[in-house]
Amino acid sequence: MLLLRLIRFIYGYVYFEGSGKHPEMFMNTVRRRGFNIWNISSMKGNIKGYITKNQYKLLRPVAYKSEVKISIKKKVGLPFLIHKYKYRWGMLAGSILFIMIIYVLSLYVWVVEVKGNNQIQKDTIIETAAEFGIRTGSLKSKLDLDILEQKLMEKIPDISWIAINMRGSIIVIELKERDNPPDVLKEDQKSNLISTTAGQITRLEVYSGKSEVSIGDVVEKGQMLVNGIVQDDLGGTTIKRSQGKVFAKTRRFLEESYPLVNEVQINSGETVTRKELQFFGIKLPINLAQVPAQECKLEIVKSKAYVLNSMLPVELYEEKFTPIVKQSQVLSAKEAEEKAQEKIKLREETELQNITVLDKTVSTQELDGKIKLSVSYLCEENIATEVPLQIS
Amino acid sequence: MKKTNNKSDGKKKVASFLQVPIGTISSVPRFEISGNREVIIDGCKSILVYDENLVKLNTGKMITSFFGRSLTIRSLTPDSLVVEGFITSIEFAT
Repeated sequence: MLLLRLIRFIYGYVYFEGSGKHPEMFMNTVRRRGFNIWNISSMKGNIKGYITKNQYKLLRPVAYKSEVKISIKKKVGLPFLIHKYKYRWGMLAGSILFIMIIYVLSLYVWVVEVKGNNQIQKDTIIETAAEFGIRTGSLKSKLDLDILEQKLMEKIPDISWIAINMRGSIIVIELKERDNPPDVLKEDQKSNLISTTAGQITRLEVYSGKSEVSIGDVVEKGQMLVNGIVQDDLGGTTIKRSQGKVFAKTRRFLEESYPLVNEVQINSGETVTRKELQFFGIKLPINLAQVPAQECKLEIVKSKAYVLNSMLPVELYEEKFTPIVKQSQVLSAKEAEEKAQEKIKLREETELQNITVLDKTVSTQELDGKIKLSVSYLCEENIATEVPLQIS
Repeated sequence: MKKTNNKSDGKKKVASFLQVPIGTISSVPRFEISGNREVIIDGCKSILVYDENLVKLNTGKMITSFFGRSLTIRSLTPDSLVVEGFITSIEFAT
């Protein structure tokens, strides 16, 4: 039905009304002559209906013979629209220009998308693809996607599979990253387990080799914990790879300081924004704002345009200049201590990862205009490390 | 009369022999009614009366009247037409 309505709109149709002596005779004549007429209603001798634009002209003689007077009440369709705007050359020129622009733009790549990457950065892939010609603004007809797939795989060895597809003006790079195989254990490698730090042994898990220490022993850094050279009861010697874990109580120290007097940046004026529209790599300034002469803080904001979840090759580039003034900020001892504690916490997350902290002692000291925070940790950790055995 | 009766009887026998509906070989009008809202009529010869409450058609050997309200003819062709509206009753007059 929608198609029928579209066809009628394209050909054009009229809504007419008529009244007269013999409306039934009129309708019968209309039927016999094969006129395409629809939605006819009749009320107290008045007929209303729709007919195609071309056939309406032929309807008049029929109406005259049936003594029915008809008149057009409404005209609908493309022919009437064209007639209405017949002398509007600008509209026609604009429509043609629009179609031409869309056609020309469709010959170029608008957007490059990357899917399937986890470890490899998206920017790395896009930059590498740009080296081989896959970028916003490249001519689509000049891209040989099969060869480009091979080149990308050679350039980025971490890719195990890649497919580059062109969907309209969007290039989609789909890839699968290489899964690195686990390290193969070399069973024939001979080694000892050596201590990485000083401590008191609390637990031993020796899988292979001969333990040289016992629970409760105090060891130094570099001391042998498990020996790869094992002597059996009959006096024979076997050299093997030592494997195991040796847990000990150790002591670790972290220190951080924070000054009581700080130099901070304070906004001292209105933010000036400079905007630029980037279209297919071409930069078009939107405003000509002057950058303040004094020292400023710069913030860059990039916004991409989307239509129905599809990215367009248009980007709004904003540079925000905020004038700043440097001022001294005086902190109280407590505030400086809190700042130092934040720094200590960050270091704990990285340096004390995989270590069990049994106890912690914190001491604070004010020295040379700074608050110094010293933290001592009593930890339990695996202190054994494998060292290959050198046999001459 | 006899000839006409013989002709219609003959058509019935042929339809029965060929195992096809009588409508396929006879020139009787066909009505396809959808509820009481729409009727598609095939084999209509002419329109006798057309009003929003009554549509009377010459369907060959009989006159068919559709009574109702807001009756309109949705489409019109030389052989068939579609009547739409609220149909309250249908009368066949031979």
